[in-house]
Amino acid sequence: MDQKDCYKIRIEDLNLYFATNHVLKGINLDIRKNSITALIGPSGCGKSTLLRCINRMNDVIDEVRIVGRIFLGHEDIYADDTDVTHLRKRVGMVFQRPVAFPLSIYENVASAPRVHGVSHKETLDNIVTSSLTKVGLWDEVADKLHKSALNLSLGQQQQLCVARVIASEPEVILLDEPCSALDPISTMKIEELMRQLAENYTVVIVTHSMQQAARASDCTVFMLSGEIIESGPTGEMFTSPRDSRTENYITGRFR
Amino acid sequence: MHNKETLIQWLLATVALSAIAVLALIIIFIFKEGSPVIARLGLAKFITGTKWSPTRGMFGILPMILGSVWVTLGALLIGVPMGLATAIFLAEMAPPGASRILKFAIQLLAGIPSVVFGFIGLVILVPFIRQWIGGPGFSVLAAAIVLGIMILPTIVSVCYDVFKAVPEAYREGMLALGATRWQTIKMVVLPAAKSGIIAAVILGMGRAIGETMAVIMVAGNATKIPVSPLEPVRTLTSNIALEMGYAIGEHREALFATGIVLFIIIALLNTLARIVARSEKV
Repeated sequence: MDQKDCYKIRIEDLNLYFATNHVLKGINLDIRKNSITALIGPSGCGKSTLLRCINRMNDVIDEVRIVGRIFLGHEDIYADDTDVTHLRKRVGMVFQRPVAFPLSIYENVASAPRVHGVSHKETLDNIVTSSLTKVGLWDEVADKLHKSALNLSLGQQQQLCVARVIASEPEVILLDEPCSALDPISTMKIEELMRQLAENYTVVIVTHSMQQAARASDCTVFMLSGEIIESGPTGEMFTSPRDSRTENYITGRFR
Repeated sequence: MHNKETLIQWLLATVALSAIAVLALIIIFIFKEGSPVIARLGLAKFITGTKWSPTRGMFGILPMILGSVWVTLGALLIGVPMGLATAIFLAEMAPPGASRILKFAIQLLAGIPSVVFGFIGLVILVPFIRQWIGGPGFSVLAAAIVLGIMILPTIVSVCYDVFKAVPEAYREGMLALGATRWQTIKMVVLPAAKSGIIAAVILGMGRAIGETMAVIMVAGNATKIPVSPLEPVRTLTSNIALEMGYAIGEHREALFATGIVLFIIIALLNTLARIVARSEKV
């Protein structure tokens, strides 16, 4: 594997403006393939906004203007001819609050392949079974697939959301503070799950919890006021940060 | 200070109770006036009788019950798809400015007196049907079209509020899967709004079944069971409004009895709407 191919996502000179606010300032970042990259930083530093640039979820918001380029593999996802719906199939996203749709567990997972035109019953069955198995939810829900997903616990709902993302066979999975609404045990489950996912997918996670970044990620990116201050392998960053601001943040001296 | 509180509480309670008391009096009055004739004829004969001929003492209101049913179903067939489509467009697709103007226009529609709807139906719709489709023009079809338009504001505004109450997170979650706008609406918004939509339909139904003036003007009001949408029809409400002016004795009682039947139908619909709106909150 040459140097270029071990990176899945390359962000070049990305600037994002919300109305007159300059939210992301000259972001340059390479994200490694099949690894977990954590974005950390205080609230409002732009880490979630940066994450949402990768599947163009910021497009939905009025008054957002984006300048710069993001490459997924070799394709510029901000090129004019990008099919955004196809991009979002390749780059799945899990949100902060689990978004279980008010449908059955089965339909929640099946909605992803259905969106992309799969309607064959057996194919859907297989996708639902394998996705739920991969996230470790199958044994708990196998006998109530056609019951409402809203009866699941929050932790289970978040696992379900991951299953739904996997069901559309993405290449990249973005997680936006996926554990902030969960209890410690569910959090642990999701972290284990991320570790498994990283074998096949490129995982990018935004987290508020330094411990989570330290425990669960391979690379860490520290952001402050819309800029990347420091990025590198997680071990190095947490033991010997190069920038004093990074050190202050990870030792909890400012928020 | 405390006394003042108590006084206000009592005052408000009295006003609230008097509103309920008026309702209770109306119910008691209709039942008192209408039930003797039902008792004399027998309930079955009253609601399944097909002949309405007050001068010969024949009081069967089946044609009117069926008339109300056909006209109402027809109105729903026209009003629900249109109203639902409008609400989807306003809540999910239209730019905010256009949405505001259109919503205002729909609300204006609700403010137009029913006699005006009836008048337009009478001078435009009835001749149109007579000339281009067939029959006398005064028909189930004409009444259904006029009522279908009249229930639009109810359906649109209730559905609009229901769609707006669907959490934004559902739409975002669906879009993040790569869904298009329409897929998002079809796969998540509509299922999430299902019980609210049903409630809107039932409210529209209540409005359609209770409407009188516009229906009288375009329906033709013949007291026989219509066998085609192009035939004239008389509804329960029309029956009361048309004859109350000159009815005496048993005839008058039979009109009150018609009111009882109407009252029970509408009460059932309202109860149904409440049950549906409350249940199915998945």
